[in-house]
Amino acid sequence: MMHGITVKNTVGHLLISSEFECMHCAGAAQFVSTIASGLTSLPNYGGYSLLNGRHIHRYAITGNPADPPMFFIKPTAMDESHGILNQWSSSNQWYVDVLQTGATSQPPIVLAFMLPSAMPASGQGYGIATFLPNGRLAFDSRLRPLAIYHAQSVVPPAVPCNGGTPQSNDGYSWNNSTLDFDFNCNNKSNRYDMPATVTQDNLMFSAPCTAQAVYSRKKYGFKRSCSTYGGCQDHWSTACWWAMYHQAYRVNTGSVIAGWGMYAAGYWFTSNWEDGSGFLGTGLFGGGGGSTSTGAQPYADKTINLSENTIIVADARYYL
Amino acid sequence: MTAFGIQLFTPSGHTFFSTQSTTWSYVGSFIAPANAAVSHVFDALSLIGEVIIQRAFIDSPPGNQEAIIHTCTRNGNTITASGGNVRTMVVVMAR
Repeated sequence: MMHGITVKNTVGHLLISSEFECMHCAGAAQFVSTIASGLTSLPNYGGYSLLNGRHIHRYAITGNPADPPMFFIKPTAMDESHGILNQWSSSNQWYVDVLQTGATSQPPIVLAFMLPSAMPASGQGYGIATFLPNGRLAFDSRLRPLAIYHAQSVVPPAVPCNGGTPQSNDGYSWNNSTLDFDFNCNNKSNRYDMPATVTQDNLMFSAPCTAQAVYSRKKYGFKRSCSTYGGCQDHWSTACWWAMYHQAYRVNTGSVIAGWGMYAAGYWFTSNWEDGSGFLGTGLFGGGGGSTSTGAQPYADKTINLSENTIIVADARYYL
Repeated sequence: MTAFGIQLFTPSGHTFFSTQSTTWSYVGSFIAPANAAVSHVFDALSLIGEVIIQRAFIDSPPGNQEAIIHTCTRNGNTITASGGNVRTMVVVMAR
């Protein structure tokens, strides 16, 4: 490089270079709506307060579809887990859906960071700016450049359920539909150290919910009814509870917590019995059955995308 | 206070950027399409030894599919994303 600017910290990490563009704060994304809320019980099963709850909040900000922004979450509920589920653009708007755990909906503040060339110029006449060789603005202190406080590769535990890996078992009485498994995930997380110079209340983070999982608990019930005349009729039932999870994060003073948040859940139940109408011509036992369902689980039990991903942490005070 | 570095202030005198506390720099990002590998060259990586990568879903409703996100590798100043069945945003940071 024949000219330009390079700034390094005391251990030689490159912080500013006129060779690349930095992200700058475009302000808070507009809260659009909470598109899903609740999940404190298994749909159709009931069992009030069986689950810890989750909420999905949607935000939007104007931006170039070709330059995806980075979104940072500044939680309102610092002790709940959050993560970025998905982001997409439509008609020069960028949208982002944020997952939040907990029984109460508490939408966080979401800050967007973009390339400085996509942002309106600041009216301030002083500061520092760097430009790429092609003249494109790369760093402008007037536009609040992103100062990354900490970045860490993290991964949640392989199985999100507090109860471990749920099983599918037979040996239960016919029509047994009593849930005996803890589907919550608030106790399943990995902790990583980070510097403690910024306190929890001032932290914000960019963290995608890439790992996801589906797990189910099945109980197979059976009963055989036998007549005093020597014939028998069999009865079967299946009760299934399932939950889908996404990776979610918390930050504390001095640590990053990589865990899980519930995304969806359901319950289905079937009960059948064999046709015993021919038994000794009595017509006493008709075959049949019934079922109830809140929708099938999205895919078979497993955890996918279980690999390290990066959480980026910054001091929110600079940007709020 | 470090003996060297840079600090930037708001008009009110509040420090908002300091080489004492900043650790990583954003280098760039790209979007990898679904079901295809893609490589992206970041010239700036030739200056930098340490890289960290964030991957995120983009345009991918996460609730109704087995959404496999791309994995990423670095070779010199080239970042390659592959193996995913959904669009993936790849954000590269370095120091």
